[in-house]
Amino acid sequence: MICDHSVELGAIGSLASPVMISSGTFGVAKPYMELLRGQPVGAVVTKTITLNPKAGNPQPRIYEGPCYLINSIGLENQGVDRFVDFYNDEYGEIGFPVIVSISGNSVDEFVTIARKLNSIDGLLGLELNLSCPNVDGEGLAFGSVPERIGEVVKACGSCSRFPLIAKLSPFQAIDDSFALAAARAGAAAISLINTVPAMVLDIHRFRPATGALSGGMSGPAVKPIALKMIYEISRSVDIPVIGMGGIASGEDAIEFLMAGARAISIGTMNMVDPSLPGQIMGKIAGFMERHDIENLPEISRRFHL
Amino acid sequence: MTVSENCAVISNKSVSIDENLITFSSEKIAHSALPGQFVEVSCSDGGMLLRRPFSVYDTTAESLSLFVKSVGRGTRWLGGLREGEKVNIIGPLGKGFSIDEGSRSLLIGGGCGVASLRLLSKAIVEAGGECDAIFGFRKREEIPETIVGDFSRTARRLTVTVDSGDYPVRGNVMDRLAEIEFDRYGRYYCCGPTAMLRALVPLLSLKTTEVSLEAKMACGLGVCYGCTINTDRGGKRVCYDGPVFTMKEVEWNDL
Repeated sequence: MICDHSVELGAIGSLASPVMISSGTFGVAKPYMELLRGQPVGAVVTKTITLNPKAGNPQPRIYEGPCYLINSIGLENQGVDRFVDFYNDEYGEIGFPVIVSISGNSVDEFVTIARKLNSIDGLLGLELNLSCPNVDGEGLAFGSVPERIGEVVKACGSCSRFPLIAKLSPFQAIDDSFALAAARAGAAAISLINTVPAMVLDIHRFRPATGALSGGMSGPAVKPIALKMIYEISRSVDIPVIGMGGIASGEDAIEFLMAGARAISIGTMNMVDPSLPGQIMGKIAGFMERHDIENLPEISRRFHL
Repeated sequence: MTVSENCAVISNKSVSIDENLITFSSEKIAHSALPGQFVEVSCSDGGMLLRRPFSVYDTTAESLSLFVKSVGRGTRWLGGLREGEKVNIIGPLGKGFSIDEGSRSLLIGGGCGVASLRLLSKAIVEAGGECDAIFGFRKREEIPETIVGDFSRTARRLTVTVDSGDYPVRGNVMDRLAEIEFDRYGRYYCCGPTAMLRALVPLLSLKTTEVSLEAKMACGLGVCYGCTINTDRGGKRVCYDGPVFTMKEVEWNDL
């Protein structure tokens, strides 16, 4: 039996593999690319790009707990102009379709970034980071009401030549109102979940254990939370849902596909093991063959109560 | 070329109260590791999420040694590895030390920071140079005698000092530096606690001095920006732009 491992992501088009790499955990640094080369990756999402360069948060930026990671990077990046200038040098040869993650302080900033990115050829899409918990008053400000999300998606949609993915935080995925607002405003897909806003204290020093007050939690501990949200939201919206949150194995990925994700994205665990996409695809292929499943969407169609 | 290699433990020796010297089988990483570079060791079988970064202590044609100080659950698990057990290691990573052929160098190490200086000392001698070394430890029980022994074969003159207690001599590396004509060297290489490195800045930052920095890392591969430090050229990743930096480029007040 021949199994089809490609996925259709609506207006975004077709991916050769359902495994994507999440924003913040992909970069064009040589050691990482040497390990990722040849892996079955459907698309990669860049670190979030902002209008102006950002230095990011003070150290420490990383805290590891049992089955989770808290990061407070603070969107360190060199700004959209430098990103555009060096895009061909840095991303020209990577061999994977690229989605650019963007975030702004206002609708205007999102629009300005989206416009500037129009000068790059061949992007697969833009992912709107509407939920990064690290930056006060930025992404989160847009996250508070569904109408604002709709506004950002609509404004970016009218000026960008690339399809848009609305990335939701767990707080925006607690019900379907934010996802529906994004879909109605013309988003091509929804991705969820972003990291969970979280904090950890250093009790001996009476202060936060991260340089910034709080950060975003990821890793296997958030997986069941993500799964429930993907299950609910994929049934509410008629655009594809890209599922992410703590995926660490092929079995995890199959669970997300079964819950209703059209594609899946790996983040934290991809940094620990860049060969994870191949391991995941091996498991998915074996699973499909064992259960006589011809294509990926059938995995969720077989799900029943 | 960065590779991922499954490495079997050849030996795991306790070298002080809380430090182990672990030697792994490795062909690819051992073959290409340069002085000052590091590896990322998987601790997933010990229940950890992230890999742990370690300087490459020493290499042979088919092995790689790491100096592991127990500071938390991951390193304690590594310290308990038995002969034959396998772990996945990614490396070699980062930018290492630069060596000036034939120069006289002073190596200054504190605690487990001495680990990153071993391959360097060998390379300096192989390049026709010579090196002296000053190593500081907090107390006698923390002196890794076998490792000090390794250095005594490559360093022309090796001084070991302890913060507390009288063996071999009491005092920190600053006290020992004050006793010698420390500015007669061509190059200085330092690795150790931030407080030690910061204390050395007034003496050595105007000289040709390289420091190897330690940082908490998530990826170790240049991707996540979890280990960024401030330098005179802006934010730099310890895992990718370092771990070796020139002393003068680091913004020490921000560390």
